[in-house]
Amino acid sequence: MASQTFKSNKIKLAFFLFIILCLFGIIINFPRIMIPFGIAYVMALMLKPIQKMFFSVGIKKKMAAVLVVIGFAFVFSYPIIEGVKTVAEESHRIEYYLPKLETYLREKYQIITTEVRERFNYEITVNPVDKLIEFGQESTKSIFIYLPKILASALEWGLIIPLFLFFIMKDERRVRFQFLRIVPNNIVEKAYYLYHQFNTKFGDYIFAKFIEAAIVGIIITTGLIIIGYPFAFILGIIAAITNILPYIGPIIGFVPALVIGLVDQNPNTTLGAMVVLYVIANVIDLALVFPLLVSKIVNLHPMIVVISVIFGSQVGGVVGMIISIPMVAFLKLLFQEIYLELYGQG
Amino acid sequence: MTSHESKVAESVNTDIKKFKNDRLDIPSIKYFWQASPLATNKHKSIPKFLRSIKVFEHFSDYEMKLFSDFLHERIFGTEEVIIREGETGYGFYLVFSGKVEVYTKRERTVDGVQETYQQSIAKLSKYETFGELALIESQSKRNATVVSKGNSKLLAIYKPDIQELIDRHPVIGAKFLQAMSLIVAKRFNQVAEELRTIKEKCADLEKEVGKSNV
Repeated sequence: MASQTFKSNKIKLAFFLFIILCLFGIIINFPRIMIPFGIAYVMALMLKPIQKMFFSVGIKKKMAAVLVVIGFAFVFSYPIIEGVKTVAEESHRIEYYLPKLETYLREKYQIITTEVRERFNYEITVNPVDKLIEFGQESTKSIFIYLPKILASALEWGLIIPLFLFFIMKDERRVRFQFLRIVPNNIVEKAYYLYHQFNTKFGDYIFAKFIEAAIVGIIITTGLIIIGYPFAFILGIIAAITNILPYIGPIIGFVPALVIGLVDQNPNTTLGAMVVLYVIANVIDLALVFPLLVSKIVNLHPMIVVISVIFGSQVGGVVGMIISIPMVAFLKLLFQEIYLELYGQG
Repeated sequence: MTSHESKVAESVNTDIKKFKNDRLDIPSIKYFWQASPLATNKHKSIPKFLRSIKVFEHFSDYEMKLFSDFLHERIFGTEEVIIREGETGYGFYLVFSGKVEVYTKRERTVDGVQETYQQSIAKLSKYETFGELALIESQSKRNATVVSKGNSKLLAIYKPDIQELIDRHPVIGAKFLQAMSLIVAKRFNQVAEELRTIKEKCADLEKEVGKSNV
């Protein structure tokens, strides 16, 4: 009898693994649906605390989902529309800056090659400036070619994501309970616990990073407006986005501001004040925001964080960079569970 | 009755018949829906089952219905292990149907060789519960192995569900945790009683040994 149960458990496990593989197959082969679904899922995890707030005042699940989606659209649509307008204006101004940047780079290159020739009597044959400019032109061209496609996807996502978000918030538990029915009895407790831990870690991390990026972006934009630095909005957005990447992100976010400051011949451009502002923003982030918000969620060694970000960027680009840290934090948890299972409490 | 009146009565009867034929026969549909083997009557059977468990007596009918949505139905086959001693537990179980047996690991020496064996310590049947410490304690280790005897159906609630229950229905969450405390208190009293009996027996044995030495 016991062997019969063992056999049936093995069949159930095989079936369960088959379903998991099928789901992975669907995720990989249908990116057009699965990417907005993934974004909606992450958003649902992020917005869980707000949903809980609605529950605490007695609002039912369906109503809470409706209110969260409407609230999200209401809160973000106005800043997005205004932000797009400002960014578009600043992008137009950047067009005038590009030739300036090209001239600046050529001049600097000329000075360096002359200096090297005079001092060391060596002729630099490699011309990285031409290659850099060519790369910049190609990138700008490809952005304009893909722009209609990107806009079409954005429009499609703008409609699909809120719809997915609503249904995930409303029906996620029902689907989860149905799915748990096919999980074999011998692994159901652990599988469910790990799934819950993964969701909690992932949702909390993305939420914390989102808040952290917003704080840094707001500090940089406001500071740049106050000191009268050009392209305050674009630089603020770049600083916020790059801040998602730990350790190297703030440096990458600082480079465009530095380039604009060096290229701009305007005497009003306060390069020193800009550097101080970036330092202050990152000190606030490192000393206050990161320890309070993020570090409690992922307790990983700094080296592991850097390695996982590099690995994430290789596998999945920018998205890979963002999700790599919570994934590694979850793998650590999984490893701990397996270790405890194999070697006991010690 | 005049001919006009009879005509009116006839037309009313025809209208009623027509209305009866036109409208959906809800009771029949309901009967076939409930009789269907595909339809689950979880909303009816589980609250009714929970009503028979003493620790859930503080729950109202509506609370019982909402609480039943958080329970997972698990089917176990003959001799299938439900929980294993020493493993980390995350679930609390109620026996809905069938029987389960509780075992603990013991050690004995046979012909000078020490061996471990499973000793049955309890048999649980419908309305009985086990695994409550897993919901209260963090990383709780199971104290015993529970095996299904024959086919059994169990209702389970897991740790992640408790947090969700507290967030969504705090009153039900509090009542459930109160029920858990009652179960733990009951077990504690049982253990204390057994300990007292053992101590008394030890004292009696000591007295007997003392007397025989004198």
